[in-house]
Amino acid sequence: MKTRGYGWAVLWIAIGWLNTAHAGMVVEMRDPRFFERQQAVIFPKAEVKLVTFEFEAVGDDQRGKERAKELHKQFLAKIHDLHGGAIITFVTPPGQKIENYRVQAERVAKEQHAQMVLWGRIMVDRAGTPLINARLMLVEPPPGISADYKKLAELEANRVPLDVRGVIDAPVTQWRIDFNTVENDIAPLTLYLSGLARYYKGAVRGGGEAARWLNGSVADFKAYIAALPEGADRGAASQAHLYLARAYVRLADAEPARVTDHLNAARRYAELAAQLNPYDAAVPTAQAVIAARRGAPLAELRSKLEQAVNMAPADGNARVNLAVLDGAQGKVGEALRQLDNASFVQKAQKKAALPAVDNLRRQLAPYADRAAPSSPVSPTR
Amino acid sequence: MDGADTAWGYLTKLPQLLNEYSGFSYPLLAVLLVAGALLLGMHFYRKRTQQAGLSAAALMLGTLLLFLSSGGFFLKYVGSVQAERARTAFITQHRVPVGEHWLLVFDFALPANVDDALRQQYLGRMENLVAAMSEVLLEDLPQDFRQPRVVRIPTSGSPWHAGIGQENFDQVITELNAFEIMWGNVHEQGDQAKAFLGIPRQLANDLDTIIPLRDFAFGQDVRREHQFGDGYYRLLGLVTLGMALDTHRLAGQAAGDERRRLFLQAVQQLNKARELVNNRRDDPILQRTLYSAKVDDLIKLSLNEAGLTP
Repeated sequence: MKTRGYGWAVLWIAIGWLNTAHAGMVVEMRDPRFFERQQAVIFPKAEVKLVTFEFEAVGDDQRGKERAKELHKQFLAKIHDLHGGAIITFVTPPGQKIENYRVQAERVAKEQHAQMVLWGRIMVDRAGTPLINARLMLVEPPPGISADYKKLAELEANRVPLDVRGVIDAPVTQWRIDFNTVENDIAPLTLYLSGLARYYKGAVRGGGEAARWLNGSVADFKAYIAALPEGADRGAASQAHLYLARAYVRLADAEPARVTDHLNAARRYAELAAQLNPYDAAVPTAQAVIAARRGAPLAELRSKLEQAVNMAPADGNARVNLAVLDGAQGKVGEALRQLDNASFVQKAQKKAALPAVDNLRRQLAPYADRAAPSSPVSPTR
Repeated sequence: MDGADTAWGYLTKLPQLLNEYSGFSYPLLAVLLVAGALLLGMHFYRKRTQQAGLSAAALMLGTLLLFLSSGGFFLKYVGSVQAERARTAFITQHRVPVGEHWLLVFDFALPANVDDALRQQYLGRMENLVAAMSEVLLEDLPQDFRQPRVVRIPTSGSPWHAGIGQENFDQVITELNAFEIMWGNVHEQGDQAKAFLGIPRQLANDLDTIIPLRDFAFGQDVRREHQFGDGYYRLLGLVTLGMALDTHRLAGQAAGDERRRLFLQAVQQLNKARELVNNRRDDPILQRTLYSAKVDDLIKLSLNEAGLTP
């Protein structure tokens, strides 16, 4: 379906609408000032929306536009069963270019209420091989994973035991994925995007429906990893493994009968993610969540949470996780120190205070005093 | 007429001689000046004491020595003042504003016997190289880092027209207030270049101050290496490392909570830099710099200084 929208010559090619399972639209921007105008939200009811841009090419090379349209078609075909999934692709007519991709991409994706935005660069080498650098930004990241943590800590003999109930939280903190250069074939990229779209959908559902989308996500991410030559893109492959680990943790909730299998799979994929990218702080945090859910010893949790704090010292949330653990071990002074540090790092980055810090501090404060406490505490987030 | 012609012939040689003398060192000029003055002094002293003066040839020699060496002195001085002015003007024009991070890329040294057309072609490639590097930093530098600028510096017309090297790179960095500079040589065949990255000694923290980058294609499209090849990761890794080291330096000069904040930022930047170029963490240049044990120590030290060890 083709429509000519707004007097200033914009060609919209709608491939589907939301009354079908999925939706896609290629927007050809003939007006160079297209992005300066307020845009209507396309597919406003979409649940998982991906915005893509033509790949920036050198000179008059049109292959960036062709590849973007190809990716559009492949992604649309891949999400044929994903109700509420949508893709919008922005391209310019021959001879024109989009300027300042990073800024435009983020702004347009936010205006479109999209969850993900993809853009990139393309060049053809002397041998005629197209080289593509794709960049993915999660404008609105999906939910991560967490573990309730409950323990009765024994303090000194004359003190009331400390009943700690907290949450070890591993949100999605990697908002941008820079894919390594791919040669020619964008099919693996489509698998990655489809896996992510399904994770978005499965992560906000429960029971059988969650299991359906999460299993789809697992299948796509596994296919992506299988399609990737070994060592080709450790950064993106690590992220794919981490999403697999998250999906399995969520599957453990959705399919309680298979909880052990799912948590074992989650642990395996998280370990692989750590090997592929030992510098991503989100990985040890996710490993700590998995360990907590598996009932692993405290030492294992502590080691992972400390690792996360070392890798991301400015992450207040990682320090709160450690404070929860310290509290659970009866190390009230240590827990309060972690909370002080969490407050400091938030303030140093001009970020809002974390509610969990005050909550936990309030509950632990009476125990910091050497005098006998009046009542047990139940710190929760 | 013969005498006039001869005199005119000598006169036309004078500028050439003066130019030659202005190239002499000050001590040599001083010796020649003293010699000329002595000859003339001796001649006038003899005349005054009723003795025969020096011969016409000796008198002429003394006069010429005096004239040429004093002229040489003058021209040399004027030349040095002009050179200093040009140097100051160049440095003022290209000096990086305080608090900003600019990577200065000096025009690569070209092979000998390059004609003008080829020189222009190479300069065009330099322009492309700088544009390609700028695009990478603009698009792919994480938000934990302030956006740096990549600026091309013409070597001809600079005070360092003879080239940048081990002996003067730190002076160049200091005078231009750069946080990193890049220079290089184009190979004889013209399609390959060798580049070096220099970081200030005050930032280096025991790391190498000169980092030799591997040879890369300096052909028709230099984007291949710096946007799609290994150069992409090296550029991002080494620029982010330089910026993190600068944050670490600033942290060392600060006090109180600002000191803690800056050390925290330095650790965050070092970790982010490592994560950013993880895909090439086995690269020998990145292994020797960003992934070195020295940077491990710097991270531990900064965490301690910030009082934020877990």
